[in-house]
Amino acid sequence: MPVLRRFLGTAEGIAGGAILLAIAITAVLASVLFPGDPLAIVAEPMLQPFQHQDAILGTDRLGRDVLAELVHGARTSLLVGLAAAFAAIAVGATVGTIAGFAGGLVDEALMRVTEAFQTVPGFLLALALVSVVGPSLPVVVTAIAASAWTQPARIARAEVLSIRERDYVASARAIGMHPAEIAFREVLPNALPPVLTLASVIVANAILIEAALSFLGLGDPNIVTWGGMIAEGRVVLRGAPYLSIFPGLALVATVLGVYLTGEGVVEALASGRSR
Amino acid sequence: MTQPLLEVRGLGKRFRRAGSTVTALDGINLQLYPGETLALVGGSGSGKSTLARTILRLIEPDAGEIRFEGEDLLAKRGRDLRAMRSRLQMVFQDPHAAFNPRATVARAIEDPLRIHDVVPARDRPRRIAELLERVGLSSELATRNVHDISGGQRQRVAIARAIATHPRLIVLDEAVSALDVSVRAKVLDLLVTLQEQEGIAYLFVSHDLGVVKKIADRVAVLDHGRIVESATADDLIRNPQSDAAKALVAATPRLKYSPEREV
Repeated sequence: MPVLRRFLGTAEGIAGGAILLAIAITAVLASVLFPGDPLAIVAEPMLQPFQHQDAILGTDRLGRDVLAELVHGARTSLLVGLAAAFAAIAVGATVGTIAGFAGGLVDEALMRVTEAFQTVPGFLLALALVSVVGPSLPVVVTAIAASAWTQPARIARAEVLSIRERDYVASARAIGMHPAEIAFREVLPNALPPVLTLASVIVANAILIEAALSFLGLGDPNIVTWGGMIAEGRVVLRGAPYLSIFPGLALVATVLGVYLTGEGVVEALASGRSR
Repeated sequence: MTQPLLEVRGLGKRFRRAGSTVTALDGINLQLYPGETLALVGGSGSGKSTLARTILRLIEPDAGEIRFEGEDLLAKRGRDLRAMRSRLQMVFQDPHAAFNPRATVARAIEDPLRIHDVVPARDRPRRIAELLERVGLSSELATRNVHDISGGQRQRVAIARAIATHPRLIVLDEAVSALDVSVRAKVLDLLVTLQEQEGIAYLFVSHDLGVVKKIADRVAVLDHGRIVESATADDLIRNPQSDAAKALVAATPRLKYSPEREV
């Protein structure tokens, strides 16, 4: 895995990878570290952090363990970020490939739809979708993906336009390959690398949009989210700022980790190509 | 009289570029009989690659007619066209560009076998090994990536891919131009052997008369999208009539000074 070695050779790669790995492990082990419902009341409300063994980061207004909420919240954030990015790239790459490969009217139609989505600010679109359909995790993921698929689509289309003129595509036609197979087996995999470099930006944005939706009370109410925790803590911001600060720091760390990882990957791929 | 395998009549193609039109093909007529090799020669920009790709239906012509095995090739669409492609194959000039960067040797050869259902899936690995050996490669190469083998080996893989479906005609678009001289001679020998064994006809596009003399029965000279001269390879080299042919002969000095010697 020369790419992995080069990735770990970059400062961004090491820092981002370490942060993300720590958060990912926390998220995966959330039920082991804090079994039971993180939204259950476990102690007196408003315990200050770093003073009680049972609730190291203190408790919130209802007496829920902040650390348990934080750890379970990592799950939501990562899950939403990854799922939304996966959906956005899958939809975007498919649309872009079809548009670029088919050309003509199909291309025109698909790109006009893409532009229509692009003219609406992503957060507003997500906000509108969630308020209409109702807050639940799948809806939040869909809403975020619906606003994020346009950029992958445009980049995939540009790549496909150049790849479809290559000889190996002509060669695939010459042996009688079906156009759909040419598009998705010969062209799409080779158009994907530049699209995938968008993944980190989309994941980071998705995490922030989810947090913002939750902050506005439009997140899934049955799940702990960092955005929801910040909104909770806002009410008592003067008396217990830590209730907002801890989830805020977690958000910053996660988004930073995702960005740095993305930078590391891009750098690792670029140095591989230039050699 | 035998029916021609390929018959092209009045083929025309114009490209529109930045307002002006370039005539790439202008009233091309040619015939190719089973098991025969026809060379298409001409300088760069003469339209020979366009002609090759038009016959493969990779480029759509504006005018004219192409008949292959007596059938109207230009009338075919979709499934019919794809089915017909098993009998009409192509080898490209640049063996590096002609393969998917991700393809392994086995996959490159398996594609035509699978698409045209030449052999059942379980027999394909054996057939791939046979095809590799027929083109003079070790069957151990099958698992390698196409881009990890040498240019000569890659062009042999391209030939194996082309003969996988037992085609009647293979269009070779400058198929040996990118290879160095020693490899080129061996690949030409391979093509001649395959032709003798299978009776495949070749449409051999080239700018190199030295190569053409070795493989072609007849030669058609292209200039500005027209066939300006048509002769046997020996006659053309000994006594070129058109300016384009004279220029090509002059560009191959060893032929000009000692036309009788085997190249």
